[in-house]
Amino acid sequence: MSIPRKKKSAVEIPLTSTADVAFLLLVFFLVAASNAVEKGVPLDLPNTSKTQEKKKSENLEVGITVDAITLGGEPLANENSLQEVLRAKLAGVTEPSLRVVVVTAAAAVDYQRWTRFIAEVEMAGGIPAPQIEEEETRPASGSGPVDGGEAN
Amino acid sequence: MKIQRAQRLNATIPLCSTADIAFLLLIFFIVLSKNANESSLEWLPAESPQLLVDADNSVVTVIIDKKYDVFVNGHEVAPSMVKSVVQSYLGDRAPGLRKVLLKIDKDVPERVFGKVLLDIGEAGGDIFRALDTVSEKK
Repeated sequence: MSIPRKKKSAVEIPLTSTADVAFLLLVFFLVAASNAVEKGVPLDLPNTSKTQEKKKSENLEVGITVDAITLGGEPLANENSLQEVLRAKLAGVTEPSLRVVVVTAAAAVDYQRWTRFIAEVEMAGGIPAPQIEEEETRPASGSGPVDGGEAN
Repeated sequence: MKIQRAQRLNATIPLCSTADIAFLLLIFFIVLSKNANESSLEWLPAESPQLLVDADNSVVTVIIDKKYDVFVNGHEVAPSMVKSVVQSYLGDRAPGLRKVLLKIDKDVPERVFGKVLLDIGEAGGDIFRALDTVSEKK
């Protein structure tokens, strides 16, 4: 007499809810990405150009051009030494108003370079006061990336 | 002899999960529409050697993209209008609650971002620059 074997039942993973899971994950990552916290640094702009003019006479002045850095009008031999030089000049200066460093930039200086030297001033213990001149002749900013700016 | 009819099965679609799906779709489109404005803008953050801090909630986001176009809260704005638009968003909020998140492409020249910085300052905004940490690659 033949003994009837047990029928093998097909083993399957239920996939009905896979789409639900995938969709939930999608939404989760969308939300997580949109809530990613921006990192950065605050910037204090001097209120008026008059105060800048006043400061200009007594404070250190850093000039940024496309290929050089000046300190008090004199070009620095090595632009990487700005932080070091400023730290030495500001050593012992405790009054906050005298720690203000006026920073001017040529029109063609890009934001990366400007950001770098503003950071250098802050890291040297100075309070950067970016001097932005309101010029009637400034071209409209939506004019596209045509680099024709000249040094101030 | 009486012929037995086959019993009709009730064909119903299970509707238990309809609410789940509707709710998921709703969240999906809300999230998508919220991000639609700014996600299409192309800008690369400048790198800073400074210690960066997290940006708290800001009232206004100003972006200057790699084409030097200016966007305020996702809407393109003529450069001459930045001051008035930022001013209208800030309203008469108290000092300390007037944060303006500034995202500028690293290649934008001073002749473009300088004017925008000046306008935000004059509009009474507290500028917070979105930056990146200096990358290690050499």
